[in-house]
Amino acid sequence: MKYFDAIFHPASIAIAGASPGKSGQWFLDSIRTSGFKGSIYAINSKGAEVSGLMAYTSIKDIPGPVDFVICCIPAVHVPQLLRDCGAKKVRTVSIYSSGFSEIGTEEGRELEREIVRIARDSGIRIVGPNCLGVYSPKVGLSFASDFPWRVGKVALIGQSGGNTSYLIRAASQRGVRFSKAVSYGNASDINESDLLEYFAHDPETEIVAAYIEGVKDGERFRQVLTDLAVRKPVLILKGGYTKAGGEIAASHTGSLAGSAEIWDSLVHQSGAIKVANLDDMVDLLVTFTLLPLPKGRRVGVFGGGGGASVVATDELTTAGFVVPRLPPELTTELMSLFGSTAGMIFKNPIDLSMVGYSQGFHDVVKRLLTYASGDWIDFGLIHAGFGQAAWFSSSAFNAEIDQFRDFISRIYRETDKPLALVVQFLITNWDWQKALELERSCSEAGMPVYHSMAGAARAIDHYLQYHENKKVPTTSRTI
Amino acid sequence: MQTARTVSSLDAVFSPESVAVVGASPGKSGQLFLDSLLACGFQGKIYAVNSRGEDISGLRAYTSIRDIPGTIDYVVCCIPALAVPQLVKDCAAKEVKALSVFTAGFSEIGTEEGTRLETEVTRLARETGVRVIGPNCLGVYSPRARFSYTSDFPNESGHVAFVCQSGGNSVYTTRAAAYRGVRFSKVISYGNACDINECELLEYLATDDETRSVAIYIEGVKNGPRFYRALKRLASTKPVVVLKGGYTTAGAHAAASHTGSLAGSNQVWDRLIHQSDAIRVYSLEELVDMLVTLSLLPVPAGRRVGIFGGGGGATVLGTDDWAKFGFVLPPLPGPIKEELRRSVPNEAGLILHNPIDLSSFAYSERFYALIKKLLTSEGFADISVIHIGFGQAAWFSTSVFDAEINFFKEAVTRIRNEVDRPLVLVMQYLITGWDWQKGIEELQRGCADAGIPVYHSMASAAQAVDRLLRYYERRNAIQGNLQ
Repeated sequence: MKYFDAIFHPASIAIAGASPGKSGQWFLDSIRTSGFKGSIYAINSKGAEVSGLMAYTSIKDIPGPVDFVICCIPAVHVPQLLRDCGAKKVRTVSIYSSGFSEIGTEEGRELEREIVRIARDSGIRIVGPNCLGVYSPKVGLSFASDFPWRVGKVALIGQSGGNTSYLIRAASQRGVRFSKAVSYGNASDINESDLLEYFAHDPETEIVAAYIEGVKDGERFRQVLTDLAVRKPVLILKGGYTKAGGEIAASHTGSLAGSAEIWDSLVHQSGAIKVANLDDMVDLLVTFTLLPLPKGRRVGVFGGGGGASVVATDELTTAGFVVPRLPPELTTELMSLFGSTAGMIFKNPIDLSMVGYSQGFHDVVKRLLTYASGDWIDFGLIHAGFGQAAWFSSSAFNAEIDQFRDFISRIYRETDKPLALVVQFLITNWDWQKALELERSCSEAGMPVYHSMAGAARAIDHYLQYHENKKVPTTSRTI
Repeated sequence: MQTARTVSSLDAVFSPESVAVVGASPGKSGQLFLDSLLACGFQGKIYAVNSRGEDISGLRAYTSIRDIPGTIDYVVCCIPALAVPQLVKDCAAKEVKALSVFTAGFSEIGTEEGTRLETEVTRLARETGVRVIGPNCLGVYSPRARFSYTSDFPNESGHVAFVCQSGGNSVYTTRAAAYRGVRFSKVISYGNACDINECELLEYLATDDETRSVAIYIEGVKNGPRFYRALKRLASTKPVVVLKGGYTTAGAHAAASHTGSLAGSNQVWDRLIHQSDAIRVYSLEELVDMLVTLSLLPVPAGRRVGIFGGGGGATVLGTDDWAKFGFVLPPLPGPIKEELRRSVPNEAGLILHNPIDLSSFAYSERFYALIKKLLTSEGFADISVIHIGFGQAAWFSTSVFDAEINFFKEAVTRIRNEVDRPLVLVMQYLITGWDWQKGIEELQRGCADAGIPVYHSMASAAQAVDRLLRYYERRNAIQGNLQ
């Protein structure tokens, strides 16, 4: 397991194929903007200066030691690079280049076998090929310049570079932070089982997420996953779940996808959580990292407007939640507070349209969350339905949203009931930026934010099921 | 004849020539209605009424509609519930044809007083012949009459009618669909349905020439058998999409306090919608997707789909999504594959199957030529999907992004104009920074304006197109049986 140190905490990095305007330069720039503290070296065939760095024409010319190499040169030249890396005592090579087993030719497969042979002979570990490699915020190693620098507790492995990037971006926008992430492509050497095994014992990782198209060794994967799932929550999204998708997975990462039934039973028996798509994965990461575990399934819904509340109630109920009636004393209290009920619905969901985003909103929601020691609900959802209001003045709106944000943060700080925000985005030109700001500041304050009631319901349902199942011995699981 | 009379009274609801807003006081909802009407370019007479006769939004205000000199077709009511019965009487005296009651505080609040007031309004409407929309609703958006309850709905009219029991949901759906290129013939937010109800509206729309498809958001019906007959008849003349709000028990409780509706069991609704041959959807997003599909997508001849772009992992998941909904992905035609192989310098990183991953030359002239060729290639695909996975790329430069987006927009629009085959764009949104958002939005709007259906995920696109195909498969089966 020692070699993982060199993967996640390298002291020096070289980029082979760092030519101006090519992917090698983007890798270089990403590492430099991510605040990597160790030595960074550029290599290109012409020795041309790149991003202000002098470049070497061969790794062998670099004076100091090199721990980690990112390879962006054409596939046919990779074997020689690996031999040079062997001579240089490099410990890890992350291969971005594609053109190996995934292209489906005998030539591609042979080339992949060859690089693995060379790596084994020279004591090098390979990430990839056909991958983006490693994101390790603790040391400032990243393959994109816009991922957060701050370290968190989620480890992510992704067989697709694009899906890995999407998940990191979308989840970090909503307050999730990562311990490590690896886009591992064709998994010629280091594979999904190696990574999951490592994360099972990694003290920096509390939750593991995986996007997998195919596994190398089914039996080992089953053992590793089962062992990991006993220790930490594991969220798994399978790409190539259908037969047609499986065929595409084969040309994407050379994976043998396996049947949906086998996969389902494997995931189910291991105790991992099966995830349906990328957006559900983000919702689940938000939930597992930010939402304190609700004690039960009773939910209070605040705001949203009449019709939005009806649809939201359907969605929550369908996912197995209970939307309890408002205690009668509370209704009476609210009636006397507001005088009239016209245009407001003092039920659960509570429609406070007429109160707007005022102090009244804060007072009512806080009262509902703390009433009878909060014993009538297990968690609360604040529902902001952008695009539902008929009238809209941007100047008033901006001020209102700022106020809304302040009230939400105050409620969040002043109560201890699990609480989340559902921002229903309407993708048009105007209220967007403001909704985004609202989302960002709530996320930064540590509050879970979702983009739809249905998404929130699915994620929180999975979360509760996971913890319900943990109490039951594996053999008698029902879901 | 009963039907003829009903039809003509609803005509006035959708094409008023003069409007008065009662309760148009500064800073109140009445002023918002008034301003919306002024902003959307309504050509007829607009009058303001408030208790003090205070000028508002540059208009002189009357203290009663009885004082208004000219005729009034349509009144928007924003005064307290208790005063509404008297207003109906005044409307009758003034020979007003339709009264839209925004005011809440009727049957939906669940008190005896609220129910009594609503019964009173219904009785007065029946006695006087003034048609009442609502109460507890936003009323009518009728772009042909340049008549609207918000200022940002499009001025152009189209062929989708929307009958919606919730004001907020009518706004959200209309706005979201309009943004993606859907245009409406008529939208009505009808609230508690004390006089004009869903059945009458459906009956009216069945014979409305302007309307080619109908969306319904409904929480509860007044008269089950009549509703079933109206829905079945309407669905036999044009596609109908239904979103039932309050299909769970808890949702039904929420619906009762929202519009005073008795919701009925989900099973009953499911059977009713299915037997009417209407299309059932389960969320506002699905409703919008369906309207985009019905309005903009030519009906594909079959289930073969060709997918372009997206990037490796996005493409794998996208394929799963289409396959789950029963679509097939035929292999790329041999000659085209050969040609591609020859024209692409280095095959590495490209996937020359279906889906085709064109990551490395997605924004080039070749992209345009290739898609056009595949689109026109006989016997390949019945529907083509261009898939853009924003947020998937590791590296991103703002400076080239705008140019790429523009190029892409032009290429897709050109293809759309030159080839009349089913083509959709799927833009997987990643909600992050503003610069990005602006570019993505321009692309979405450009494509929607060119008449290309735009979706926000592969799964939602596949679901909507599947629903469209199943609808026509069923219709063809029915017509086959009749022949």
